[in-house]
Amino acid sequence: MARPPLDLMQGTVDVLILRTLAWQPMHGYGISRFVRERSKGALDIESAALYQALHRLERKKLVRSSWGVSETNRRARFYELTAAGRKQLAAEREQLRSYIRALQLVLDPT
Amino acid sequence: MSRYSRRRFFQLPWRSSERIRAEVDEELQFELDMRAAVLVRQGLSEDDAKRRALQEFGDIEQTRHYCAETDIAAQRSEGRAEWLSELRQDVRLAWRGMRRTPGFTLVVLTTLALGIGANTAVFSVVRKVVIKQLPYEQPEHLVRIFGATARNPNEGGLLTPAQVEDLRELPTLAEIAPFGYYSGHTYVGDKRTEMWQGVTVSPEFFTTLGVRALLGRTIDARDVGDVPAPVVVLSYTLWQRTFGGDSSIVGRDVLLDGHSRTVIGVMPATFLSPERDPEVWTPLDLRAAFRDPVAARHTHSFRVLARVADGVGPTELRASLETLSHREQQAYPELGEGSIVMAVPLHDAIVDGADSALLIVMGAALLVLLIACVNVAGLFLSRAVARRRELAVRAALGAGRARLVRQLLVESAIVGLAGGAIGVALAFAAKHLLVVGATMLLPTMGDVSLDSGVLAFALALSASCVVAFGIVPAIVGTRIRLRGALGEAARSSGGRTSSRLGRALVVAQVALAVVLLIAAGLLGRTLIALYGTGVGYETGVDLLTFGVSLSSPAYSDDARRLGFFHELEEKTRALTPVRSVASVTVAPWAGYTTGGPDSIFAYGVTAATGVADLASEVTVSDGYFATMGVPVRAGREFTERDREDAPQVAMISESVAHRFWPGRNPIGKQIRLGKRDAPLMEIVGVAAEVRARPDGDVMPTVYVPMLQHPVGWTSFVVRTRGNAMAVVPAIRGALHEMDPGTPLVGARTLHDELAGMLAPQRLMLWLVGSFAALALMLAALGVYSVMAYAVGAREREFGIRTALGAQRGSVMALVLQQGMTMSLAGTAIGLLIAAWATQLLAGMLIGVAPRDPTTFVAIALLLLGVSVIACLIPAQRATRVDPADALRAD
Repeated sequence: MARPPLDLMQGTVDVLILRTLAWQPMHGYGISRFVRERSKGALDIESAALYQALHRLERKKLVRSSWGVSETNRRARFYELTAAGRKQLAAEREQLRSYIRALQLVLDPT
Repeated sequence: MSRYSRRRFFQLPWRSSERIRAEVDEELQFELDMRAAVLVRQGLSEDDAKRRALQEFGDIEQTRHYCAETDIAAQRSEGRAEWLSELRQDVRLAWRGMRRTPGFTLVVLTTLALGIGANTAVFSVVRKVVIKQLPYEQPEHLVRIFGATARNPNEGGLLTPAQVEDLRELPTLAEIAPFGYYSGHTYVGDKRTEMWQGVTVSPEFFTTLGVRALLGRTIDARDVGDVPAPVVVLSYTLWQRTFGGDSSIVGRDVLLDGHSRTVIGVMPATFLSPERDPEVWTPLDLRAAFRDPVAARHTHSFRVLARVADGVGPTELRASLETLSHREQQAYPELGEGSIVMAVPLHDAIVDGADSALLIVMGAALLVLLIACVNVAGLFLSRAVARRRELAVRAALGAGRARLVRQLLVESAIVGLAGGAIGVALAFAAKHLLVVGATMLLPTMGDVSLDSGVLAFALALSASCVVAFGIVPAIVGTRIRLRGALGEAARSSGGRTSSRLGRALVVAQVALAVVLLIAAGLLGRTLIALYGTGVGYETGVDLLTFGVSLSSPAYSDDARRLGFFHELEEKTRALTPVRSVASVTVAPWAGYTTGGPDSIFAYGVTAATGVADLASEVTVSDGYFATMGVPVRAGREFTERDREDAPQVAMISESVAHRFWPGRNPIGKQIRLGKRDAPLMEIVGVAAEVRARPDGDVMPTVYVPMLQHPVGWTSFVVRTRGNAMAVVPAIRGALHEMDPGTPLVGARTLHDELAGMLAPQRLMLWLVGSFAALALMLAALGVYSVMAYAVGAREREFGIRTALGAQRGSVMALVLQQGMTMSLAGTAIGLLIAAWATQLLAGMLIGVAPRDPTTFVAIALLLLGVSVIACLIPAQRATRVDPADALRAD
């Protein structure tokens, strides 16, 4: 993954996590796998960044965690989206879309 | 598609920091393991896979730290938010609960407001006197120096000029500041004439105290040259009152006693005079007193303030003063008994016993507050018991014991703080009363401030009250057994522990009330004794006194002065209600002497040296003793024939007669006053003793006739028919006619004068008495409410008894017995505590012992009587229970 400025990266990771959890509750490994698969290998979130983001999101009450059993029958921490998280996701999604559109406008040759 | 997840219905339980970190580690370990497993599947060895996974992770240490800290912080703020919302809920519930039972709330708030308000008020006064420092520089090094004789060692004695000079030589004293005469100065301004109380002070006075003027400067060395400079320093209150706080006053001239004086400064409002409350200060030049070296050694005229030298302790100081006294006696044996010079720390001299009185009042106030808290605790307890059902429901719904206790405590806290706030407001409103009361106990008190320190005290007190009356009911009230509480039976059973506690609380209240009542009783008897002792002269409303001071130069002539006073006397005597008029220079109630005590030499008692003693010299007009109602024990009073050209005569008081001529007739004997070669005076009469105050000492006095010793100021005594104050306007008018510039000051009846002397005792009695009455009411209320509750709880039982044929009398007896057991126990305990506690009062009791049996018995009977009455109403109720109702199953 390219190295954009840190806060953008952070914001992007957050929105990716939220979007993933909107799909269904998952544990951290599952989230990074989902993102990797969905982006066809283009987006690979660094684990350190991911877990820091997850805990940060939980502190902000955008996600909620609980211990469950993974598909490999091991104890794992699962995250799910809260109502506030859902709202935040919609907002950030919109923001990111506008940003991308703006970038495109500048970068496009026409 | 959903993969598991176990949800939680309730809040997440609290996790310790270790647990949080362990969970983070577990979570991250899961990630590493999952990645390693994938790598192993791709063909790496286990170790390689683990290492790769770790590498690919990123900064794992930082992540572990970050995640754990985030979780811990989140938990903390979560906990806090939850706690706050619970608290808010509790407050809301408490508020609702208070509104639902307005009677209860009102009683509790009133009780607390009175208790806390009284304590705050007393504290604001006590603080200034006992705890706060005097507003001088290093006040702990300041002392007052007094002169006394071995015979009459009371403090307050003045020193001679020679003694003051001797003091200057002492190495143990760093600074000496004599100050002297208190007198009234007549101020004639544009709009009005006023009488100002002033004192003369030496240049060192203000510097020894270490105080500065607010405006201008204080009196210093510049003001004593060949003659004292015509300057004056004003007090803050005088400046505000007469000159409206005009800051241009410094440098202006004022007409004082007919002479012009320049105002050189104004003292700040915080300045506290070490004695009395003078309004002006003028310079004193000690050197003038030395023009007659013999008089300088004999005439006691000065007060001294001094600063102890660095490093000198009280023993060293005392030793140096003893040496000084001894040396003086050796050098001047004609001083006879010799005077002793002693030092008292300035703080003690100013406060002079007021602090012990105040502490007792404070103690009484705290006792009342304690009773009030016990009362409130009892009320809360019975309320908690009544709400057992509600609490039980809450407990069933999941509230922990701690949560319930907290809720009850919040209720107590709200009530406690509200009561405290109202109490402080009350104390604030009564501020004026406080200042008046405080000044009665301590004349130089000045203002009483209700500042942040006092507020902090009130807050702390309210908080302690809350703890005192809140905790026990909260804990006891939440001891619920769900099944029992929710069942129907809950209504009738009172809960054994709580009712026992309730009764114990009442016993405590009764005991405390007994203690206060006994204290009030003893103080009351003291006051009666004081009024009974009398002062040696009559003190009715038909006796008037006022002062007149002739200070303008127009009256510098003796004949003029005598003439003026004579004319005033005649005019006054001419008024219809007036029966007799007389005047005296130093009235007994003034309590101080102008000079003196002076040495008396009784001629002819012992040949060679003459026996010297000290007595006060008082100048009186003829007919003085008859007007005052002081009996003349032997001989006669002065008459108009004891004039300037007639032989010098004097009258002596009984104690002087006894001292020199015990058992013999002193009439016709001769004495001289002041110096060894003063003119001889023949004794023509012996007067009964008078005192300055009912609890004061007798004052050996030598009286001399005014016609032979003319003076410039005097106090008039007028005996009238009916209330003496009625003639004041007429006399004032006559005086104004004679000289508009000479005012009449301090008109009051002797009855009021006596009341003023006894003001401290009256105040104490009033305060302690009110507290005691309040305590009695609270105790009675306590007995009543416990008995009412008990009867209510046992209604069924009483109904059954009546149904079974019990007489009214026996049912009442049953109730009374239970109630009286409580009060008997309380009274007994109270008497025991009082027997110990009244020792603290011993210092101020007169005419009654601290363990006076009559008082103890009387109070015990009073309390038992009141308890009987308090029990009667519930007892009546018990007899009126309808047996049919009681027998019906509920």
